[in-house]
Amino acid sequence: MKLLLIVTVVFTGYMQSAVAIDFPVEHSWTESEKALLKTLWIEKLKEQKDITNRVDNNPVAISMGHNIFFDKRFSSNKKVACASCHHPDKYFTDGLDTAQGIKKVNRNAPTIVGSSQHSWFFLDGRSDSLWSQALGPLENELEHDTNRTQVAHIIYNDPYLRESYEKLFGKMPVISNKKHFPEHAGPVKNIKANQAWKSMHKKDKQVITNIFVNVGKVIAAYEARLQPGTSRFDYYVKALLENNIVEMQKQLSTKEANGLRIFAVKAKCTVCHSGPMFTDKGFHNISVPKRDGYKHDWGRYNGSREVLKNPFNCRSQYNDSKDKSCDELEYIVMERHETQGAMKTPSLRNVAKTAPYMHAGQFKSLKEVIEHYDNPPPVTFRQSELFLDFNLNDKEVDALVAFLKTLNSPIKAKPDLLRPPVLN
Amino acid sequence: MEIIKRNIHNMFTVILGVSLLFISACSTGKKVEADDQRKQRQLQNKTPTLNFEYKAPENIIKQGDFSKASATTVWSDDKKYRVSLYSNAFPIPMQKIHSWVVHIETADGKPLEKATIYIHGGMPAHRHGFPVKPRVKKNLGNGNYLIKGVKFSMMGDWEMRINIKELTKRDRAVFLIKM
Repeated sequence: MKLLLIVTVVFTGYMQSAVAIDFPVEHSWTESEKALLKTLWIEKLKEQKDITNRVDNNPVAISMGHNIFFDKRFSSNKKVACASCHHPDKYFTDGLDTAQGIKKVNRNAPTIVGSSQHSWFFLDGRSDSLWSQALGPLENELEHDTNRTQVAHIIYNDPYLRESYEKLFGKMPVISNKKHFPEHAGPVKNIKANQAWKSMHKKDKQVITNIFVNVGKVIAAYEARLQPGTSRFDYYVKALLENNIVEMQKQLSTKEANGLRIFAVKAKCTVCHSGPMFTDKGFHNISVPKRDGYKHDWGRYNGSREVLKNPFNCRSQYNDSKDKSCDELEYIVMERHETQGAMKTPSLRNVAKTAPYMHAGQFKSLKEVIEHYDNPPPVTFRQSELFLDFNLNDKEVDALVAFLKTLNSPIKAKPDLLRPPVLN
Repeated sequence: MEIIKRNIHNMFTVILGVSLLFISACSTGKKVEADDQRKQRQLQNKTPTLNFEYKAPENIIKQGDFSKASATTVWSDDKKYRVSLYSNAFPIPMQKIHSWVVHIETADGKPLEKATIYIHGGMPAHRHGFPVKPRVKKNLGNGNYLIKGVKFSMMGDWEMRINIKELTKRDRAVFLIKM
């Protein structure tokens, strides 16, 4: 009996070691590599609660934001909605090199999916909350080209939007008097609207600005519901942590696993593309070439200055949080050598669906992006952080691209939020 | 006799089992070791090289094994001060702004009560500074100074340089923080 027991123990031990031995090299990870991959696992993603937005996660706000997101009335020519540049069929991007609003914009439109996970918004971080970001394009003359009173009047005159607004924020003030509240007025570049804004009474301006800010908060409530789902990479990490080689091989092919090794170990992409969103949420200058016909983009240098002046930043009266310490602003980095030409590290989740890449769509494919990292051009605009020489061969580049495609996943959101709302 | 026979039989079984386990473990260990060595060789051949020289300071703080109770103490570059540094958050958090305390003593062991302290640093190997700018916000007395606005945004080697300035002298202490 004892012999049988010992033989069983020995046999089981041997089989376990045999399984470990038989792990193909591409699926064989050291303990420290396992720990690193675990940090990228989507299970490590914490739900972000925006304490600066009192209607975050409120169903009425989500529904109202959903409606506004697809509503083209919120633009000067009634042809541009948020969804024009952040289209659900294109993973909430537009597939263009630089976005097309009322006019051509000078930057690429990033995805909305998972945007609530960031600390800074816009590629240069000139907003420090998702709701204040949502207000920027509305007033930008290249994007929606609308103004604060126009936005307020649409809400006021639309029965559904007004009812939703009042459920969330209380009774709307009467703004039907066009002498006090002109059709078009706001601190915008449009001269007529700007002059109308300047001629408004201070109290009336405050009434309109409150409505405008609340519109940003409901849009953000909707956007925050769009999160990346579980990808094949995540299932692979789960299987790895369970030591389940069969499932690992099912999730990632040899080529994809090799690509993952290049990503995490050889090329150390995880230095900046870290955490479950594959971003350090910081700003880096990676020597991306200037596009012909475009000016040098100062990126974070300007963004750091603009966010401090942003009337809707963390320090403003519109922050719904009791905590106004705003440490990110208090200790913001503004030094020129640190910020000039630096852009926010994008998430890599579903990156294969968000071409073209870089802040002005300089690269059409992931292969071009990797070739840029592998052989960065001479620095033309301030200090670049790219200095590693990876010497990837064609096979390795292909493997890395194959791995990046394993980060594709469905969007984690209620299905009705992924299509235009049904009009009542 | 039967008992002796049974004991010998049992002993033989145990020795056989242990031997098999030992052989099994050895062969597994060797194979894994061989794989690791092969991987290391492969990596060494292709490890990215830095195109500038970076010399890490001797004193290293590791994430997870550092607390107020075990503050790391070093001499400043010119041995004018002894500087201790500890994080108020344990283990040192990633992606979160938190505060540290630096304790400074003069060479003869007296707390440095009045000095101007500047904090610099970042990731020398990646040519960037801290994602937010740490500052000394309060002189806590008895040679202790509160540093606020410390944040680590990525894994790797971070350097925190404590620049100490008095009326007539100045010096610098450097800490390497492994995240």
